[in-house]
Amino acid sequence: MKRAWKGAVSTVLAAALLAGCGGNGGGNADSSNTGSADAGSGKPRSVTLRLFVEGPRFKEYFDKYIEQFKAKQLAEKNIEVNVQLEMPPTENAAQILKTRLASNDAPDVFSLHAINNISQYNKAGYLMDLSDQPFVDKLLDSVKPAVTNEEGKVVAVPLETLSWGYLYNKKIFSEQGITPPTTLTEMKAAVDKLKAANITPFLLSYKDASIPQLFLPLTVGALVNTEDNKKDFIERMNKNEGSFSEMKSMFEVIDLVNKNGTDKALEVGADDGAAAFAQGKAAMWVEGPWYAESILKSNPDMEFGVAPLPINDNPEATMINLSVSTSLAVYSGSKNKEVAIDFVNYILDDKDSNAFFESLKFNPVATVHTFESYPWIKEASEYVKQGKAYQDPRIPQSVKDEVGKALQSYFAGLMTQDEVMKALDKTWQSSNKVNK
Amino acid sequence: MELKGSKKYLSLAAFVTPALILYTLFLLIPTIGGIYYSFTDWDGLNQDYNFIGFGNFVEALRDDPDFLHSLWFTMKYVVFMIVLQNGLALLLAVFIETRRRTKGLFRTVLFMPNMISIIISAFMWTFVFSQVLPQLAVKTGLMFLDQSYLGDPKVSFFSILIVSLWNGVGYLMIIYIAAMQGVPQSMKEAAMIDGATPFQSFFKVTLPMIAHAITICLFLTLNNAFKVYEVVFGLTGGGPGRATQVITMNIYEEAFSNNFRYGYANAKSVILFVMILIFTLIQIKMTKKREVEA
Amino acid sequence: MRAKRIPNLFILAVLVVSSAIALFPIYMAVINSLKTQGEMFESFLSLPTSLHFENYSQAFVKLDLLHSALNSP
Repeated sequence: MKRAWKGAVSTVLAAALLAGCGGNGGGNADSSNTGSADAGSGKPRSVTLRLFVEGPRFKEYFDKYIEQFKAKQLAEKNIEVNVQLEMPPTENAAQILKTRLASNDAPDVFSLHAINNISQYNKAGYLMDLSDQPFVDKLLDSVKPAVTNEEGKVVAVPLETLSWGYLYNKKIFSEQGITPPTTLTEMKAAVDKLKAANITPFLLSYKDASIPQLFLPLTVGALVNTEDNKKDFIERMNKNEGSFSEMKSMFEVIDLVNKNGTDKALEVGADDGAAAFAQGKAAMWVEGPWYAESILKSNPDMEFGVAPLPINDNPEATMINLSVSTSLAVYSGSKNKEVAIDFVNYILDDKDSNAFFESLKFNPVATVHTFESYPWIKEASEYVKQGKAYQDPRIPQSVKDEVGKALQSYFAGLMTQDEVMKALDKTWQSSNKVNK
Repeated sequence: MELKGSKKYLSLAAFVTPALILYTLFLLIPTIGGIYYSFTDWDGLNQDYNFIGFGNFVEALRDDPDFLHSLWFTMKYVVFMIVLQNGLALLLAVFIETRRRTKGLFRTVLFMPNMISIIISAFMWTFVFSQVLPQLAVKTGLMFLDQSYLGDPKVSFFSILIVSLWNGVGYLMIIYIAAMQGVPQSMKEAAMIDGATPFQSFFKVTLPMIAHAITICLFLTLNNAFKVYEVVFGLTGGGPGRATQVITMNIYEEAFSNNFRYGYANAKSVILFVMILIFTLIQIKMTKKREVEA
Repeated sequence: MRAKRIPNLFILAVLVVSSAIALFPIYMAVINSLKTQGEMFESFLSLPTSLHFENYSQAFVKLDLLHSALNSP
């Protein structure tokens, strides 16, 4: 009797263990499409669409939009779509996505960062060509290049776009009689004026490496678009034929900001920085409007504006950076191509897209978007309309990460300008080697 | 009669199997997988990769100054931790043992920091370092308190040390207290009768009798200090730049940002594993020799 | 036995100071968690004038702490 009992208990334990593992595996297996067509006749055919979006911040908006999509698909094509929406936290979303792509378990539609990720995912062959899709014609010209791969094919539909330079405190500027400077010399004059009035010109928040990182696209973007010998800088760097020593002038504005900023910059993180800027502790903050929510949470009455950062004395180089971040792409090996492509087109649907983008507080990306944006977005859009903007340069992600850390070290006095530029060159070369 | 023997082993095996399966699945297989990938140049995304033999290992030790810096920084941290964590824990254990009525109170209070998870400790201390102490410095006029605890690389090493010690000393202290309570009173009294001073009694009687606890505690400190991550992450994030980046952070950065070089990061992990293995084996061999039975 | 008092006092002092260091950050976290943001920035060391327990209820709601607690081992 005793032995039988022992045997039974250990069997139950083992079974429970396997059931736990088996359950997870089984769940993944049965979500692929059945594909059997029943179109035209009364009974709708069922399709499961797997949608992967980084970060849970847009969950409620996506849920609502998906319901609208499902209704439309049912009405127009008699397809009952079962959407499995996955929204893992931003920190490991990219990880999870990569694991799934590498193990042939990819979602049908997934989000990626247009500027940072498209070339990498494209090289690995995971992006479906969407150039013939109806949404492509609706895209604004300013946005199309960002979602186009190196072979000229559109591979994603843009969601989030950013127009940015630096943020400034409108109240302080108007009180001191300052308007956004158009050259570095004018900026220096503004800095002196602020210092004379005992106002700290710049807010420095260098604890998170992602903030000093912003200097790179701002300076490189402006320089490659205005100086002839630098026009092909990115292409040459991709072939190991360039060097950051050509970009030495970027340190002029970096030094100006560093020398005229708030104390203890390395201890202030992004959120603390947003709170301090909202409290009026400095007149300007080299950051983007994606911190609008944090700033307004800290001080709902704060009025801030977006202005292009001057980097030298050429007023033509003072431009807004236009970037496309979160975008949706279709997995090249998707078994639900039709529904996936329909969804991606629906993002820019003639009827429903406007409300969707407005509720998400995104910028307009297509001709179908007619909603009113925030005052600072309008301000930035003015610059764009005047042609004073450039595409966020396609710098490899690893170089962007490296510059964040390098500028932190530079600020702390641990690295010289030459060492920073050498480190950036090395990282770019390493990236070329790894991603060839 | 042989049947009885094998039946015994059968039931043993049945009970061990579930744990063995978990161990194999979640420890052995990933470790072996990791070692396998360390000989390739896989980037975590592509489906194909190449074997490059020891190329990753050579690169890590020869062409990667950030990795070498993190190795050196971690070793510095390990040495300080071994000496300070054990020294302080032993000191506090001895001091607590001298108390009669307040023994339990002090033991509880000094153990409390250990009950807080290390990452929360790091956040609490970030608040203290970056906001409270500077404000305190201004209010009391003790300006030496107004340091850049987290931003200045020279100071942040000690900030990290302080938080690790604050969190970890309590745990070792409890072990030492228990060990000291196992030293027979008769031995200590015999030493006193023979005219030994408290210092002599401690070093010649108590210390050898708690040598087994010292072995364990040194091992724990050595093992955990090499793998430090959360406290550095919470306080400085490895910064500024990479000034306070420890090995684990360097590996994490290599695998999950930069160029996502999984193969290379795995190689660095193998190097870390081998280092810890060698150091702990040496340490245990050395201290086991000094252990004495009562 | 007189000679024992000085080392005794020293030991007690060390233990008391250690206890203070052990409790200081926890104490800081607790009293500042019961203040409003404005009160907090004025002085970190002062005791709260009134106990703002809503910080705790907000934390539970906004951070979904119950969910996390259930997930933790």
